[in-house]
Amino acid sequence: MAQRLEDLAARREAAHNAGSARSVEKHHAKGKMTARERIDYLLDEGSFQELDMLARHRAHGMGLDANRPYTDGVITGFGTIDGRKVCVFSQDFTVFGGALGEVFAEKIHKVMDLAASIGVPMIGLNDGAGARIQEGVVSLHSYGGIFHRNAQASGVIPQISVILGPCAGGAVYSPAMTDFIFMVQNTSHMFITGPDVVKTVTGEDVTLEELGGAMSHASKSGVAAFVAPDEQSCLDDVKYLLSFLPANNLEEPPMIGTDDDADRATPELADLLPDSPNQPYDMKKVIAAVVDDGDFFEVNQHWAQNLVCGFGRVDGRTVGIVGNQPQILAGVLNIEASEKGARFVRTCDAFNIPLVTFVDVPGFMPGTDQEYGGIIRHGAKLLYAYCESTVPRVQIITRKADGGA
Amino acid sequence: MNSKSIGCDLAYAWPSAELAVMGPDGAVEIVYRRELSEASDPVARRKELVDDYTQRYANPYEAAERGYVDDVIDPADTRRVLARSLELLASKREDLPKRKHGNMPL
Repeated sequence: MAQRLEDLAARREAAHNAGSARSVEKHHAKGKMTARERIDYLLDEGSFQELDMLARHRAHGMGLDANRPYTDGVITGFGTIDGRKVCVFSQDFTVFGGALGEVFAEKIHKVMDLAASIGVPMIGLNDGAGARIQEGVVSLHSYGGIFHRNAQASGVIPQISVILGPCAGGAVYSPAMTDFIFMVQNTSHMFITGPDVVKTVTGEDVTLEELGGAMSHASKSGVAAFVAPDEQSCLDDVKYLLSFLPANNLEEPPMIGTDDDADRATPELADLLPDSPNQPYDMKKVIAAVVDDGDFFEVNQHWAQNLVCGFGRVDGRTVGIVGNQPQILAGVLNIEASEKGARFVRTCDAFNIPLVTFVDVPGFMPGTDQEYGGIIRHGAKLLYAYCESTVPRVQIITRKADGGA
Repeated sequence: MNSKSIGCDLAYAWPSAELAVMGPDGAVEIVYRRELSEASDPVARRKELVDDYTQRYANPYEAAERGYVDDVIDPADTRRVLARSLELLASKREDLPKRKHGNMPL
């Protein structure tokens, strides 16, 4: 037995060093944690149980059979965050550049199935080159299995995507189908095609960061719901987000006790409101005054800022808060704000999170830009989302509730 | 934005709320266009009409009279009222009609 245990230990050791020392060093030099370091940082200490550590690819093309590292470039398993169960996969950029092949994908499929069947959040740490070219159509087929599972699990368990490196081409669509995308400034990039192809096809000159960097997706496209300056604070934000969410659609969000008295008066709100109805004020101050301990976790903070969305608690209970922001475009509803609000309302409704809406809206944005862009369609999304939601809904009208809005 | 008519459970307004089809200036411009164009002193008349509209419509009391808002509250009571309301609504159960899925505009 001792010999067998030694053999196992050797295999595990090899799996822990699936990426070469040189590639790990290069990875660290970029300020990035390795796939395992990320899991260790994210999960409660010692809680991680790895699955399929000893899986290896069985492909033959282009000399691939000469190199069959354990893990096949992705670490999968389960563990806890703040004592609550989660499933996780973490792509390992130091093995085949984190590129997805058949076995790599099978591991992800397996852990996604596990998360869905037991009803716990699925967290994907993405850092990979996309489809593994050597495995050809098998890689593409395997992506399909991920997309399908994303859709099946949608609204059942929270699905969280953390982008911690390149995420390009077809690889962007699995994160895009999940509930929340996190990105890190300067190290994570998402795009359908990179700057070189953009240059060839459209003649446009654009840098990697401008095209698909965290701030581009946080402020322009709305793809990234959260953006952080570094990996550690990004993973801290993931934990913070999870503290507001239930494990699945059949559970209630966790209650978190507070010393903040539910009956605390908020006299500062009367002073906050300007005398003139056309003067702006900061709706985030209204929100901060009302929620427990002033804690408000904003979603899409840098995008469509005329509508504020985020999570907080009132008397220990998670609430999803939507508020018009009079400081930006007078709080008008335009295409982007409508989409942002609709998405947020549906996310809350899916996960039994009561909605609190602070209303101060002059209406929908007029003009050809908006009409040609389909403000009727997009505005309808927000309306539809509210009409459809069955969670508790409370509204506070602070000032304007004008028009169709 | 989540009015009672589209399924909001409890709606509150601050006294500063204005529930109307549009703001006073726009409304007066449209409703009284002819009268304003014919008025001997359009500026004074416009102000009169805007003040009148503001008093009649740009407040939460028309809506409160009809129950479109459930209460008009002092902003200082906002947290308390929210906390109570959410506690009450925690046991809310509502089901949508059974179907494959709705066809929301995408």
